[in-house]
Amino acid sequence: MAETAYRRLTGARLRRRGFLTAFATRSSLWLADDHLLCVDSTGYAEEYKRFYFRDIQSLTIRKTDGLRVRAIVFGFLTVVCIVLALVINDVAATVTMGLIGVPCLLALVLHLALGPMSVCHLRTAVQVEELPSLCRLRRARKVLQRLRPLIAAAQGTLTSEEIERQLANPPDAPPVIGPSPAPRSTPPIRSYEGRSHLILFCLLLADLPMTLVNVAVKSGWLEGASLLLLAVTFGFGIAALVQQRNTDLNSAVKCIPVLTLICGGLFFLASVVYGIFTVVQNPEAPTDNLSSLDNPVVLTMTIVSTALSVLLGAFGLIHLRRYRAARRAAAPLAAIVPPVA
Amino acid sequence: MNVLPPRCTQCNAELTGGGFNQFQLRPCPACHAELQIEIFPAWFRSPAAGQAGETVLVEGESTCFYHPNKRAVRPCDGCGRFLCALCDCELQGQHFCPTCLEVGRTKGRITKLENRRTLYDSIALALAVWPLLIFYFTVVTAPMALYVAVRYWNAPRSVVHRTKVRYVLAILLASLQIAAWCVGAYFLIVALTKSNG
Repeated sequence: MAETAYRRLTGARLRRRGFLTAFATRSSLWLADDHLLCVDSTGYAEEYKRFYFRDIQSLTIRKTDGLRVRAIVFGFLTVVCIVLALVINDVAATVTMGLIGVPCLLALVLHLALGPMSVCHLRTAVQVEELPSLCRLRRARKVLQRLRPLIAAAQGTLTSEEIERQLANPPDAPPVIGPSPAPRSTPPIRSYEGRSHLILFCLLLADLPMTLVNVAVKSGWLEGASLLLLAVTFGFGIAALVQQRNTDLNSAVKCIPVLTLICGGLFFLASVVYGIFTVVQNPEAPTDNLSSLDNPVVLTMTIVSTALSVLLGAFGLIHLRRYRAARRAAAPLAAIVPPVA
Repeated sequence: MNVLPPRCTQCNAELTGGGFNQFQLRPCPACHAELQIEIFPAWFRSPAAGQAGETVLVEGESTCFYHPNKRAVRPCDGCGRFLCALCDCELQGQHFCPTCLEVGRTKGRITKLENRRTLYDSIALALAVWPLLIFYFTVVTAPMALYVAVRYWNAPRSVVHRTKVRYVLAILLASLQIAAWCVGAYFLIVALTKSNG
């Protein structure tokens, strides 16, 4: 049987399966004469899903906040790196901040140029399938424009008035034998009951006393304790990210674990890069200088990272408290049971 | 037939109030997510009723291979067996029995049913390229890359168009690596011989 000729519709984008994914799967869309092909590739194997035009019931494009969140994160990191690079009068620090800041700036510009992000779902009689490669609103609309005449050729067309009429006054339908296939739906939103966010915010606030003690008492044990605190903070950041999925926590609280992981990771990476850079430049210089707060670069990074931790921790605690207060106020009053005579 | 309104893909609330098949975003009444929904006639179409197969009424009439008491309506395009209306599986204008359909899917003979393929060309190229990071591994991976490229040269590649350039690159790189190891081994032997002599 001759192979079908396909034309590429979209480039490959990541299909995210859960929070932690072992292998990244890239999904792309291809067009044949009578069907749409979704290709999921791991690089070494491909999986195919075909959606015939006569079977497609609906296409839903939902705009998301992805652009705004990415713009805030990359913009914040770019500003921090630029400020640090200008303030610190040190070549090594400038290079380090540049190595982090320039990619963040490029990412920011790229995301703004590509436009709002979206999630697209295709529905047939037996499935509701996400199309990860339609992750930008502009691209999703272009693809929809291209598919519309092909689907219309296979099925015909419906105006919005006809759709509303049919939904409002459904004609007599033949009885369905057996359960009708339920479309896969997103999990319901539930109220947040976890503790990870509270612990995370407390750990972020604990960074300040730990830093002050480190400054006052220079000890290898305390530096080890600082690293341990960082590792535990990262752990609770990840736990908070997992616990907050599909909850009604406000977005202000939800973004703090993300910011914590990104900023913490970047500062850790910057300190490692700076350390390697300094040792390579002056191999004979004493390495105590790298951990000493007399070093202006180390001092600045310590002050900025501690300030960020305190800000994020305080901000998170305030908003978490407001969320809990709002939930308590919204909970129905317990029925007062009259005493039995 | 689906007569229920579509649902929001974020909060699963029913989307009432119209606004479908319009080229603009409309807010979900529950979570206020902005949605553009395109509904097609298949949404309101009833699924086609399946056929049970007719019972044989006249003796000597052709019967189905799998149901001897059912009348055969057509032969299978894969194996030629007679099929009743129940066993007839229509696929893009061709008619198969359930066995041929399953075999066609698992052995890749019916490409329209194929839902997975291994990309041997990518595997061969990865074996030739990635181990270069730690060159000593190439003594093992270069022959493996060469073997995979030659062994699976004619294996089906991706369903979407793909040339054999990855195979060619893998063979070239693997050959160069093997040649480098051979040259290195030759000079090592020569050096050892001279030092012993």
